[in-house]
Order: sequence, then structure tokens, then C-alpha cells
Amino acid sequence: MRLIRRKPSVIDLELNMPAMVDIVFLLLIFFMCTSSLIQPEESMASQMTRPGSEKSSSSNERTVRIKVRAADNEPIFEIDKQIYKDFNVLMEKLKSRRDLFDIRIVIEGQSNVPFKHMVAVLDACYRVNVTNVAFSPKGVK
Amino acid sequence: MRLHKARRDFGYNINIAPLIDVVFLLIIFFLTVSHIAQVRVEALSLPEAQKGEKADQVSEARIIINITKEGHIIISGQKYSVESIGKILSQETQNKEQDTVSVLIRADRELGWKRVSEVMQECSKKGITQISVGVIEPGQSDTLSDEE
Repeated sequence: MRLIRRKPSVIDLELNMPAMVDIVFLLLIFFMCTSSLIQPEESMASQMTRPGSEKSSSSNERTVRIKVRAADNEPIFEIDKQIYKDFNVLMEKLKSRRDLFDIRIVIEGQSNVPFKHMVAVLDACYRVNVTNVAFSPKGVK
Repeated sequence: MRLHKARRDFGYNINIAPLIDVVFLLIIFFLTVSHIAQVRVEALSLPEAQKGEKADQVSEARIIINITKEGHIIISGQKYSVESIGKILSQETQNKEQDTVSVLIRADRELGWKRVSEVMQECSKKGITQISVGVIEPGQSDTLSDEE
């Protein structure tokens, strides 16, 4: 009697890759379509003046008050009763003041002034390297 | 006598179908759960500024106040009035030190100054000095729409 030896069976593993690749691409397309791009945001430091604190703290410091109004959705700036409509002119005025004194800027806006104009004035102050800037609650009715 | 060698091929195939089912179950689960999560940031058109600073780290004690174009004040997805945000600010300043509490005001660019001024005054009344306004770089397209 001859014993039949069975050879050890060869285990053949198969992984069906195309199906997995299809799933991965489906997921990728799904999340690309459903997700929305996030706008990178930044922030600017600001502060609000308190009653009685709008006067200059030192003799070498001058307080410059910028009054902002809105007319036909365009901003109008007033510094020392002089009216400006151009941001570049406003920045030049602030630069000239900054060169003479240590200036502290107080921004005062009317109720109907769009927030973007107030931020633009704040930005103009930072662009001429004046960081001592504060908003004033005066002018809001 | 011809010997027939019995050949048996033991092929092990991994059944992909249950795996796909599990993947889709997970997707549906996370889609459902993600809507329940609190949203601190609302979709707004922020004003543009060149000198904005990117926030590298978000402070734990940072309160984000969103103000929509219509003047609605939203904090963590809930609407508040000007008076009621004072209570929230008081709670935050009581729990933490006043120096560590900062406020980020994200207001729509077309919003009138009055509402923003009121919110900033409330912050000042509660002794919060670190107030910042949310801005975007000039020229960035408005990809977010106002959901309010």
C-alpha cells in the first residue's frame, strides 16, 4: 500500500486592488466637492477709549482725532477741521504729524459709517507705523 | 495505470464588499456628527486690511464675537443682544484672569459702526483690554457667503 503524500497546499492570496483604488478616489472627489475653502483670516489689535482717557498722557504726545463720515458709501475724514477724501492724503498727513510728535490717534465714527471704513483708517495708521490707536465711542448716536 | 495528481488550489480571496460597507458607514457617521459640532466662526465678509496679523495660536480664553451685516451678534452659534453679551464677558473674566481674556470681533464689512462700537464698549466695561478685529488681506475673493 503506497501512502500518497499530499504536498502542502500553496496558499494563494489575492488582493483586489482596483476596487480599493476606486473607493479612495470616490472618497477624495466626495470630500473635494462638499468641503469649502477656508479664507485665511487675520486680526488687528484695537481698543476703545474710556471717558476721560482721551487726553494725552505726556507733554510730548499729541492726540490726533480723526472723524469719519460716510457720504454715498465713500468715506470722508476730518482732521483738525480739514476734510480729506483720499486715503493716501490721509496717510501723508499722519506721517507728517508722526515726524513732529509722538501722536496718539483716536478714531471717531458716525453710526452709519460702514465698519470697513473704520478698519481702513486703523489700517492706515498701522501702515504709517502709528500703533497707539484707539476707537472712540463719541460720534455714535 | 495513469496516476492523476489531484491538484487543489486553495485560493484565499479577501472579500472587499464588507470593507466598503464599513467605510461608507464611517463616512455617514462622521457626516452626521460634524453637523452637531459647535461653530465658533460664522461666514462673514470681513473688511480688508494690509497690516493684519496672522494668529498663530488661538488663545483658550479668546472669545469670538461674530456680528452679521444685519447686526446680529453671534457667539458660538447662538444669538445674543448687546446687554446679554455683557453677562458672558463677565463670566469669562471671572473664570479666568482679565489679562488672559481676549476678544476677537468679526464683523461684516458693510455693518454700521454703531453696533461694533456698542460691542467694544461692553468689552471695555468688563475690563477686557485685548480686543482685536478680524480682517482679511486685500484682494482675497469672498468665497464665503453670508448665511444669515
